[in-house]
Amino acid sequence: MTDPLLELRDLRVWFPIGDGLFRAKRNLRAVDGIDLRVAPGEALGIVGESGCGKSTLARAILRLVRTSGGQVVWLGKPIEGWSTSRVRPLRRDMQIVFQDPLASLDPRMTVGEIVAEPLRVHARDLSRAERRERVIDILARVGLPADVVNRYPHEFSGGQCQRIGIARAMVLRPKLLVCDEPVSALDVSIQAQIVNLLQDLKRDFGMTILFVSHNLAVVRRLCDRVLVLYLGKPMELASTDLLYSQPRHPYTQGLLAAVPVPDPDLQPQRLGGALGGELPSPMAPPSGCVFRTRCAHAVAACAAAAPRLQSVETGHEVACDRWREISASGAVA
Amino acid sequence: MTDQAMAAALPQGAARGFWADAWRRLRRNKAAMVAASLILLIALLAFIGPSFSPHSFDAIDWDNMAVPPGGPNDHWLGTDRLGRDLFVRTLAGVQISLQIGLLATLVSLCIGVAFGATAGYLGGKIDNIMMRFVDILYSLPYIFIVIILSTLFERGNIYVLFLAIGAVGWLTMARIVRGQTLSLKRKEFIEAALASGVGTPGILARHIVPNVVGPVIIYATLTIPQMILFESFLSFLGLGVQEPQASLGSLINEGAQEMESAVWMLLVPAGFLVTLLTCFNFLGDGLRDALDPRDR
Repeated sequence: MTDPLLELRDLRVWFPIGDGLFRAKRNLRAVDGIDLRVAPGEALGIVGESGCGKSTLARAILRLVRTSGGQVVWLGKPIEGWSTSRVRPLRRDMQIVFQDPLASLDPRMTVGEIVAEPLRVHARDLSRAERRERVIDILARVGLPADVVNRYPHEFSGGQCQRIGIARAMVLRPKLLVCDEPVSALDVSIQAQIVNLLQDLKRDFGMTILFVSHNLAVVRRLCDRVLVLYLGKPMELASTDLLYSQPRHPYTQGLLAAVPVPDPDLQPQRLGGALGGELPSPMAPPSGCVFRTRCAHAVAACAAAAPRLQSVETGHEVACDRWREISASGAVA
Repeated sequence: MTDQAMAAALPQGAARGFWADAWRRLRRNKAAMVAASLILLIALLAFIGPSFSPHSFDAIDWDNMAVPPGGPNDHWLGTDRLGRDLFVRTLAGVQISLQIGLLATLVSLCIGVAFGATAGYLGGKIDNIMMRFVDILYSLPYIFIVIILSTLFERGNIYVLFLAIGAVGWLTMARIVRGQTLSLKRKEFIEAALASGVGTPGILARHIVPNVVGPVIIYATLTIPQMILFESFLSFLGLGVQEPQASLGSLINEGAQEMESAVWMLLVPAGFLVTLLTCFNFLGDGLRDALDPRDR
């Protein structure tokens, strides 16, 4: 692997709950010990159920939430604890696209102002005309005509708003684009358009994409590797092909089994592996393996120690001590 | 989708901003439009009306003391007990009351928006300290503060009055703006600005303040009549505008003393005050309907 663009070392984000005055302070462990290396130009998918810490992880990488431990390493430099002004120059290389397209655009600004905002911060020497030219360029690149610059966000549909959001993120040609569920608020037909657009942009600009989603089909289409999260912990990390063809972790298997299949004849046999139960509270996660409370293969030993990611084969890691037995029993749906 | 298809899918017609939208809705509201026109009319009358009358606001007409309106003289709305023309005096009072109302509102607007937006956006300890300070000021009887301020300075200096009233009136504004800011700062477009590296002053000035403008304008419109009323109250107590200057409050005070013998001295300034207050309230209601984002 070449030098990573971004590296996470045991990254933790805990949110304190309770005021500490009348109630004991507890921690909500949104992200709890993530190790990850992201190579330049790769598209990494981060998947998991609602509340598993996907979005928090994305925001922690961009320093939009405060981390509680571990390190974010950007191009070999640990940026943890850097002041806001010291991080600012790095921000031109890392941008984000949000889930709710309309909410991510300031309703009082025109599209031109919105897309130009990163330029105002990072390319101050640009003249008005140059700035306008860059804005119209990138709008054209995401498939919007130049005359949208004087319009306001509420005049556009969800897909168009998401294109504007992508244009804002791309206007500085960042090295890393973090997409936080960028298509889950859109119609299915529009989702495909946005995914295609992201694919084109990745190809043309050679940027790295961190794609947070609960939509496994979209991730499969766009990403080279996939990280599966559960209660803020990594469960499985593998190349897309391996993950979808040979999922090793019972949780990954359950997620894949839950994907609806259009053919009713195939559906019943796949339902066998679907997940039951509820997500445990992230304020009081189970001891040992956090997934054991919902795992069909759990044994007493699973409660003792939390499994670490271990290599199954090249480019395939799984955080389950029993993956060999599980694979041998033919539980793969 | 091709670019042509995308262009075709875009909304047609002139680009309509938020303000154009709000203005269109406001114009449809008859009560608000009538109120706004009446306010403009009264303001215009207050500033140019007195020049049509042969009298000045403090000249005493020894031949026409306490005459009722419609008499065989050129005192159109009668005179007061000292023979001063009530038409001119009332309009001078409207002038002063409007100025005090607008300026005091402006003062409270500036302090309140800056204070509230800062407290709400920074949050945490700073927010706590700033808002407890507001709470303490709230708990002081504000009439007390104004009395202290107006005794410290020359009595009846109306600029001190602007300041005193404005300095008391910003508290509610700060609370409103803080509340709005709290809900705004969790919005994704603020996060997007943060991710782009926009600093705190930039976010406050470019994102927070423009987005709280709606509620602020509404509250300001409703504050103006409060301020006018408050000034009238102070003048009524003798703390406000001093003789021979007149404000609506001091005129009503004088009129109230002659209520049984010369009721017009009360009715003329009171009529103007009531009309102005009602109009401002209607306009404020109309603006709320026009600007309220929940409506959209």
